Amino acid sequence: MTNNTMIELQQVSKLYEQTAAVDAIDLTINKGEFCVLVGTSGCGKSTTLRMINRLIPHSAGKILIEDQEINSFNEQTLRRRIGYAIQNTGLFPHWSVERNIGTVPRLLKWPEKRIQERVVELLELLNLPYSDFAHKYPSELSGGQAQRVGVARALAGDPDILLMDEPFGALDPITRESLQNELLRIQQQIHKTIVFVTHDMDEALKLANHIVVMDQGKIIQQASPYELLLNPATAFVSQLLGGEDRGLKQAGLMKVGEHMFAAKSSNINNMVFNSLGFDISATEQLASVKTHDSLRFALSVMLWHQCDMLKVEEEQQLVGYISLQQIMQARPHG
Amino acid sequence: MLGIRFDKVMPLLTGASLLSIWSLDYVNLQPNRILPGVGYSLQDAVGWWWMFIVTTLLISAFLLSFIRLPTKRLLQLLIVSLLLVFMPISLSSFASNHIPETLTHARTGLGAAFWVLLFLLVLMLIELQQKLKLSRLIICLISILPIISFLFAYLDGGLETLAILREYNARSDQFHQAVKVHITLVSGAVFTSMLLASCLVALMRKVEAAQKIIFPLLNFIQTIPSLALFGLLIAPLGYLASKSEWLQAMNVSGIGWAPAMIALIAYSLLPMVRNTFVALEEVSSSIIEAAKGMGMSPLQVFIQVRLPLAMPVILEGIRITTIQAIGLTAVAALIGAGGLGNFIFQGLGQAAMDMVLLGALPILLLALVADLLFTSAMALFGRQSTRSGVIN
Repeated sequence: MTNNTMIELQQVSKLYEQTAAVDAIDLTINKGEFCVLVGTSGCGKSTTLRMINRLIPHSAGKILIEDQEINSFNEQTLRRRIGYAIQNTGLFPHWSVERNIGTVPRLLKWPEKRIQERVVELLELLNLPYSDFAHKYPSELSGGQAQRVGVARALAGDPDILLMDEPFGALDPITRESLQNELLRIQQQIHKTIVFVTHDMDEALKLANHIVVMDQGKIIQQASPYELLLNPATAFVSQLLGGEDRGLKQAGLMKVGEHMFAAKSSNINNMVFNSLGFDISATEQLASVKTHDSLRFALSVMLWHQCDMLKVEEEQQLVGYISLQQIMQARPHG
Repeated sequence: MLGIRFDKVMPLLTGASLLSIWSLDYVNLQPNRILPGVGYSLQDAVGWWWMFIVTTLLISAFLLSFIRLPTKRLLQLLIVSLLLVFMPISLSSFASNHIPETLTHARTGLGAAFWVLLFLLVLMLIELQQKLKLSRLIICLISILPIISFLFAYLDGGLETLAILREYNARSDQFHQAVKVHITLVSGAVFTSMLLASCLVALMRKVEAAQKIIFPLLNFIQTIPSLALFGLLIAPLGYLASKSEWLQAMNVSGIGWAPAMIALIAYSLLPMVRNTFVALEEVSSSIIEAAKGMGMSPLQVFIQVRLPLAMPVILEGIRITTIQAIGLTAVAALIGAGGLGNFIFQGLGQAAMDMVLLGALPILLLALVADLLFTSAMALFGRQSTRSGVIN
């Protein structure tokens, strides 16, 4: 174990009666890592997560946080150091947004002024204006807003570790996607160690830098998203990855900006176009994508417009081109 | 066909009111408690001038329903309030016009038209409250108006001949005593069953098997008719009291307050335990899990999260229990527990309906006041809770 390790599970099991919900798993999660546990329902991913903050006691093995066995902490002290967000938000309906977010700081007995500053800071971080939201009650929030508050509450005590149990599972696809993007943006600012449970492989591929695939209480494979897509260890993993959809999923992980050819002077463009057998005079009418769009999105635009070349624009300025051939040849850098 | 939809409720209620004051007796006058009385219509009782005003007001309220006027409901509310204020005054006006000073035992009974009009006016008030979306508080303030005008008429001496007040004046000490006993029995029973219910619920939440015993038992008690339960308690309590000096010192015997209190508590337990238990259990498990996950201790989870979220339903249980106990205590008069039920049963025995009213009206009033208190308390707690209450 290096001192870069945040959470370590050694031969951890959870037994109900005689059946193992989690069966002797080993897992190391590094500091600042976004680790996603993924699998079908009943695979033990949620149980694993809840053993980390002792909501479920583990039956065997050792769980270490920064080298210390979690059973050596007081249960409440441990949980106050770990952020926790769940699917149905679990917001307290009789408390305002402000009071909900202040839950853990209040348990930690922070002074009132510091708590309020923290609430203001977190609402700002999650794009919920303080004046509009602080005094609302959970029943007055939309599903997406409530989940943002849930995330803010989990972050309130400034924990090093954030546990998230299918936090976006109950949201509609559009809200879910915007919250996923938000979470990625926040993680770039705060660098927490996040353990995230989902059954949605697309969500896992999008968020994680460490994916752990579980089935029947065991870890089947753990890898980075690219590795997982390139080398699924078993038929089960490739099935989870969507079988033949894998190609699209992989394209979904790559950005147009990394694989386009940048626009140069028109002479050079001309040469490239000629070599591709392409008519330069037609470029004006090309459909456009942005550098941050995925290759999967670019492919979809091509299919829709029935063309094999797209303009790449940023703030209405041409920055490059991407062709079908480039998409086909693209390989992940990571 | 006109394309406009009119209110149907207000025309119906005002129409019925008009019909009742024009066709039924408003009051009747008995020379004394025994002799049968003579009926008076509203016109006979207060004169054609008042009759004209009342009729005009009711017809206006009737017609207002059919016109398009933004303030029409407020006008109707004004008319209803005026009529409510008028009703006690009409009684004192009747007494001063029709009862000679010489008839010292004469008493005024309230006739069918009076009760019908009062009932219909209250219905109108409720209807207008709902249509205007008024808060309960405003309706309570409006309901105080006729009580004020009643007190004025009473202090003025104009209501002395009212039969129910004659009954009251004849036994005012007894009445005050009865009210005190009634309230003591009810609050004692409600408070004790609250304590007992908390213990039982705590037990049921700890030991699952306890649920299987406690609920059927409480359900069984609830099915025993109240009179039978009062009767059943006489023998064992009488026996215990004869054996124990301590119980005798506390004035416990087969009849009186002790069996009444025990029976009241027994009946109160089911609604109290059921609502408290269900309220605490129904708090969403994801909320409790979140509270634990945040690092709250079990006590903090209970005090800060589970209990406040369960509170509206628990209060609902206490409300049901209190109102039920107010009614049951009336029956307890039969085994000598005292209370307002005394007047009801004595009055029934003597065929003196005014005395029955002297017992029944305050019971009704107590129940309404209790209902109001608990509803306000629940509104305070329930504001943020999105969960619907458990149905009784």
